[in-house]
Parts: sequence; C-alpha cells; structure tokens
Amino acid sequence: MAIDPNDEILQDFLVEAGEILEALNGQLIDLEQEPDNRDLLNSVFRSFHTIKGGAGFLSLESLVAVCHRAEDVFNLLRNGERRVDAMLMDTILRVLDVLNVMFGELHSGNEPEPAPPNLLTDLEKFLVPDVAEAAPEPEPEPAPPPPEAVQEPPPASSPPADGELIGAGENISQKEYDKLLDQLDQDAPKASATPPPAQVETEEAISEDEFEALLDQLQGRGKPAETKPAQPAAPAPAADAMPKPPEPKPEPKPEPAAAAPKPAPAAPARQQAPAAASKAAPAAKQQSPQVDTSVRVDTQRLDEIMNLVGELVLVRNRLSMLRSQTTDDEVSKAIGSLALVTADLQTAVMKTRMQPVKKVFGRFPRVIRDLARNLGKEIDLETFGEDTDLDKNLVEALADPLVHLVRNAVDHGIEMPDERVANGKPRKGRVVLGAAQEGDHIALVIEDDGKGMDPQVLRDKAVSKGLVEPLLAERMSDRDAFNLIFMAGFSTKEQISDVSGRGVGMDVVKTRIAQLNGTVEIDSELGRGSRLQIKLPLTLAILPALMVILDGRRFAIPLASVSEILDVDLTRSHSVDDQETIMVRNHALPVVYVGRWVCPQRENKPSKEGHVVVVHVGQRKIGLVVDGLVGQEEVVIKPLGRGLQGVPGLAGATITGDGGIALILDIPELLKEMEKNSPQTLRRSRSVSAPKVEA
Amino acid sequence: MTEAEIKSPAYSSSSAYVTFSLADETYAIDVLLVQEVLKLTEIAPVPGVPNYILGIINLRGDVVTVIDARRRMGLPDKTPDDSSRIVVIDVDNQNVGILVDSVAEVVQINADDIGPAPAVGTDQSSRFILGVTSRDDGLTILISLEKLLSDEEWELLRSL
Repeated sequence: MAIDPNDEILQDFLVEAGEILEALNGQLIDLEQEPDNRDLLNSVFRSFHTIKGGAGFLSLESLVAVCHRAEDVFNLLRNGERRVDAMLMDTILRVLDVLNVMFGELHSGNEPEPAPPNLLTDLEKFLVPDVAEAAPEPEPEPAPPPPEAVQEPPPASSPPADGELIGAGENISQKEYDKLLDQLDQDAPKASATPPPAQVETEEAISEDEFEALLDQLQGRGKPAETKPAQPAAPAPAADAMPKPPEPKPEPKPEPAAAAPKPAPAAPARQQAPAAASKAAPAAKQQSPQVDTSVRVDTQRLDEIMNLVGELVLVRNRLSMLRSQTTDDEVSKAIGSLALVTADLQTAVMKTRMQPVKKVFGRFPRVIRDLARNLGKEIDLETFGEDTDLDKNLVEALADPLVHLVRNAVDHGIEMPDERVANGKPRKGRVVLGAAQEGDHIALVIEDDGKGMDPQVLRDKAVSKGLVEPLLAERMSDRDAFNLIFMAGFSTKEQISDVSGRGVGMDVVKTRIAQLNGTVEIDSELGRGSRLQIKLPLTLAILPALMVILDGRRFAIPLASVSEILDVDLTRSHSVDDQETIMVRNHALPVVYVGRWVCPQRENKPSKEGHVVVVHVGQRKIGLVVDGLVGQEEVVIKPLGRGLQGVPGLAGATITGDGGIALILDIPELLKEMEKNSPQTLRRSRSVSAPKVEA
Repeated sequence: MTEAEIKSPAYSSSSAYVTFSLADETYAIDVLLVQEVLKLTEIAPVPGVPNYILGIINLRGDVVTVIDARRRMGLPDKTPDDSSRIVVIDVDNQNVGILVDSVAEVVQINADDIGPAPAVGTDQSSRFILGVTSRDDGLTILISLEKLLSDEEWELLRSL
C-alpha cells in the first residue's frame, strides 16, 4: 500500500507516536532502575498500545505486529507474571529502535519493512509467565480476566502478520476491549469484588447515557467488548464475528473519537461511586487539559512570525535612532514604549520556539546504558536543568555534538569498575549532564568523575602526530593542552573502537558549536575527571554583534567571538616572520587588516592610533584592525541572496537602524580566507598564536 | 515556429516583454519574470565575489543580490546615472536585481516575429540571447535572464 505522507491522519499519528516513542525511551530506562514500578509498567504498556491502535487503524501491519507483542509482554509484566530483566530490556529497547526506524520510513512516505522475524520470536519468548502465580497483591479480582486475555493474543496475533485486514479488525476490537478492561481495573476497585459481568452492568447503570454514547461511537462494536468481560475467552470468536476486511477503513472517525470520550465516562464512573453526580462535567474537563491549552503550530509559521518580529526590531532600531533627533517629548515617549513592547514581543515569540533541553537529554540515559553495557562499565547518569529552554533549532543542532561528548566521557573518561575501586573511587562512575541559563546564554555541562586527562600525554601525542611543534607543545599551558583534543586528527585512544577513537569528532563537535555561535571550554584534573562547558546563545535568529566600520561601511562581528577591544598605536607593531604583531599586556597578538579584504587596493598601514578588535577563533586570538567602532547592536540575520550564499567570510547580512545594509562577518571563515589569499602574511599566524605565551 | 520558441516553451505563454537598454541596444525580457523595477539605491558591495556582482540591496527587509548587466554580458562599464534602474526578477523563487541603463516600456511581441539569434557577438553574451525581433525603432534583443542566472551558471562561476 502506498503511503501518502501528506495524509493528515497519518501526520497526526506520526507526531503523536513520535512523542510517545521519545517518552518511551526515558520510561524504559527508568524501568530498568525500578522494575517493579507499576505506574511505569502501565504507562509503557499504554504507550505500545496507543501506537498499535494508531498503526492498526492506518493498516500498518508491520508496526502492529511489533507493538502487539511488546504490548503483550508488558501486559504480563504489569500483572506481575514476569519480572523485568536485562535480557528483556535489551529486546524491548531493540523493539524501540526498530520502531524508530519504521517511523523514519513512514516519514519519508514508505511502507515500513516488517520487523526482523527473530525480534518477534524473541519477544514471543517473553510471553511465558516466569512467576508461577499471578501476583495477587492489590486487586485480586481483576487479575483473573486479564491473564486469560493476555494469553489469548499470542495465537490471535499471528493473523496480523499473515491475514492483514482481519488482523486490523481484531486489533481494534481488542484495543477497545483492553481499554475497557483498563478502566475496570483502575476505576472500580470496589466493584472488583463482584464478578465481571456485574461490573459491566453496574457501570452501565451508573452512567447509562455516557455509555450509550460511547457505544454509538463504537458503532456497535462496543457490544462484543461489553460481553467480553463475561467470557474472557471470547477474543478469537470476536475476531471471527467481525471479519469484514474493509471495516476499519470506512470509519476513520469513530476510532479516534471513541478514544477521546473514553476518559469521560470513566471519570464520571469514578466520581459517582462516592455519589457525586454533579461533578461529572468538571471531572471530564480535568481529563483533557492539554487538549485545551496547547496548539500545534508548523515551525515554518513560527519562523515567519520570527521574521516579522525581526523586521519590527529593525524598525524599532531605526526609530530609536530618529528619536535622538527629535525634540518632541510625546513622540519620544511613544518610541520609548514601542521599544519596550517590541522587546517583550521579541522575547515572547522567541519563547514559542523554545523547547526544553530535556528533548536532547532524554536520549542520554539510553546512550549511557547501552555504552556501559557494551564496555562493561558501571555508570550513573545525573542530569540537571532539563527544563532549561533553548531555541528549537539549537536543540536539534546540539543533539549530535552532545552525544559525541557523552560517549567520549563514558569511553575515555570513566574507568573500568575494578580500576575505579583500586583507585579508591566508587565502583560506579558518574556522568553529569546539565544545563543552565546564564543571562542571554545557555551553559551546558558534561562532567565525569573518570580518570581525567594528562596534559603531558596530550602534548606528547600532539607532537608525535606532528600536529604541534615540540617547542610549542612544551610552552603550552595545561588548559591549552586540553584543547588539543579539538584538533582534527587527534586521538589518544590506541585502539579504535566502535565507540570512539577515530580522531574525528571532537573537531567536528567544536566546529558545530562554533557554527551555533557557541564556545566550548574544557577542564580536567588527572584522576578526578573532566568537565566540558558549552556556551550557546539562546537563539540563532537574533545575534548580538559589534558593529564596526571598514572602508566606510558597516560590518557586524558576532559578539560571541569578540574578546576585547583595544586602542593601540599601530606604528609600534612588530613584524614577526612577516606577521604584523602587537604586544598586548606582554602577549604577542597577531593583527590582521580586515580592510584589505574589503577593499584590496587600499593602503594597509594606518600610521596612527587604530582600533583593534580582539577575536578568538578556537584557541587563537587575533586582532582585527578596523577603521571605526559603532557599538553593540542586536542584529537580525538575513541570508545572503542568490549567488552570494557560501561566499567565504560572510555569515549573512542585516539591515541596520538607518535602513542600510551591513554584512555579518564569519570570523573563522574570514581568517581562513585571508590566510589563503595572502600566504606570506598570515600563514604563520597559526603557529605564532597557538600557544598563548604565559607572561 | 521559430527555433527560439521550441527551445523555450515559456515564450509562447507570454508575449509581453519589458524592454530595457544597455549600451544603446534594446533588450527585452519576459514580463512575468519581472517583480519590480527600482530606482538606483545604495548597493552594499560584497567582498570576495566576481566583479559583475555589484552587491546587495535592502528590498523592504529582503536582501537582494544585484548584478551589473553590462559586466555580466561583457559590455563596457558605465557610471550609473538617474535613468539607471534595478530590474528585480524572480529566479527560482529568489529575487535578483539587475542593473540596467534604463527601462523603457512593456511591449507585445508576437512569437512569429521573433527570429533566431544571429551567430555573432562574444561567447559570453550570445549565450543569454534567445532571439531578435525587429520593431519600428530598431532591433530588440530578447534575452533569457533566467538562463543567465541558472544554477549551473552560478556553479560555474563559483568554481572559477
């Protein structure tokens, strides 16, 4: 069956299932920590169930087959007939991976491949209860019906794989049935003393109207479901009773609709047990607060709004400039309040694009678990600040670098358990992943209490790989030595594993973060652990920049790369190996005349005082000689037009307060470009600047 | 049916053209491609790009690249004056401005009146010429700006 990726129902399903899968990831890891948490078990069960339901409705048989078995396994688990063990978790996590792959295919509009058969058989192996008796703890009565219902599905679940649509039909009724069972389990603890048939009757008697409505929505399908509790052995016959293959398709509405009102009848039932009929309506409301308070918006639309706000900010900037020329108090006041409102609006709109860092952090328990198992290490992951909000684009862009850094911490940082014990450390390693907002920046921390890094080893390594001159390496401070790990081609691991050690990655991480206008700092103590701190701007769309003048035109230098601004006498510069250098607080600082790049013909030696903007590129510090300084401004980044994208040295353009255009410089690229164009003058800057000579 | 027409189906769909002048010649481009015509505004030069790219302008908040048609077509430079115009055209949903000496009018040209481009002129300019047509006041050269700005073209230029 061809899949139309634009189908709205499919889209909704994908979004919903995506969220469920994400949540599942975390829940499963938690579950491994506390295998007896019934709430968790129930919630995992429901997650698989929901996905199965949606998939069944869309006739995605391969999805149904996997989810169905996973659901069955969890049904056993939550009924206490099996216990969670590592084998089972491995299999379930594999299921999750397979599901993720399937959803990936769905996203690109392909019918997902069926799950690998061995996964299905593995799952089925877990379908046998390993605890002799059904755990009889809290509700002894409801226990009997579910086990039977549970043992029923395995035979019944083979049809979905072979006979397609019958499976779907069975699946839906099964779903309804399970839902009803859930409600009975949870909502009628008192009634549980009475036999199941009586249960159904009582509920029907209590909220007959709701139940009728529900039945109507189910279009008669509720009937078999209703009778089922009486004869738990009914599922197979029920499937036979409804073998009309086209059934599931012509009624797309009733299915989601039925799912939605369900909580409502359940709630009244609960409320009315203590005889409070009037509370039925509020209770129903409480059931669905999220539905009312949140709206899904296409990110493209948010981008549009963001753009418009960007325009508004520019107009505001312009008005603020004009404000200084007017003497009219009223106008001035109005402009003042416009500026305030605009700033608020800007923050508000930015917030709509914000997502909690949790979205990225959520995947790490899994990453760490798998790695730890893989490497035979014992590791605890601690996270903090998961609710810190970050621009959506940043959240997405951060995922890969963070995974890399965490893998590194686990692989290179944390020692083997025995080694740790021998060194007087707790057996279990600790990795901390945290986020916090600091002013207009976000700081992310990745910390481990592993073996730390030996700066001397790093120096030697860099020298032996020919990345750094021996003399330079010797003079390097420890901190600079740590930063060597960000150099391309640097790896301290002798053995290349599938985890890390190829020597690519850290430099990629660094580049990626630099692209996001962020910085990475690294600190380490031998034997105690390492700590990486990433600083990022809150958003990508609006950039705080230093406006400078070059050749009579304005240029914006992203503030993130600016260290300081100096006024120096450029006539007193030294020429070190053809590289203009000035002395700043006893440090040699290479300087670059950016004006030369803007206007190649121009005379490049201003004789008098010059403004030098000190920028840092990686570990290098370089002084850019500019003709004038304007000040700090929040600029909205506009992509360069056609034919200019990818021009080296330019990150984009922005409209200035007076309606003119200023180019935004991409400092690392710009320096690279200038280096390329004038090899004699700049090539040496790397070797001169790499070590900050300690004073 | 002329050769030009067969080559460029876009032709038959519109017979209205905007004419502009460059170095005393009259050129015409498909009116449907033209977004607007601007008076010369401040063009911010961009360092490190081919010389026929004059720079960028602020078109109501959009950054639009401006190309010097003279340089692009291998014609001698001329200082822009009051009659200079920037013709903003839409190429693959992106706006590009083209600086021309002046913009004249919108004319109707019958497809039958378009003759094939004469095999003269430099390689650089003839590539953009679709055909020529003779009107009361002389020869009008039909050019394909979308071709002039096609992606391959950009790629080619970038690799230079």
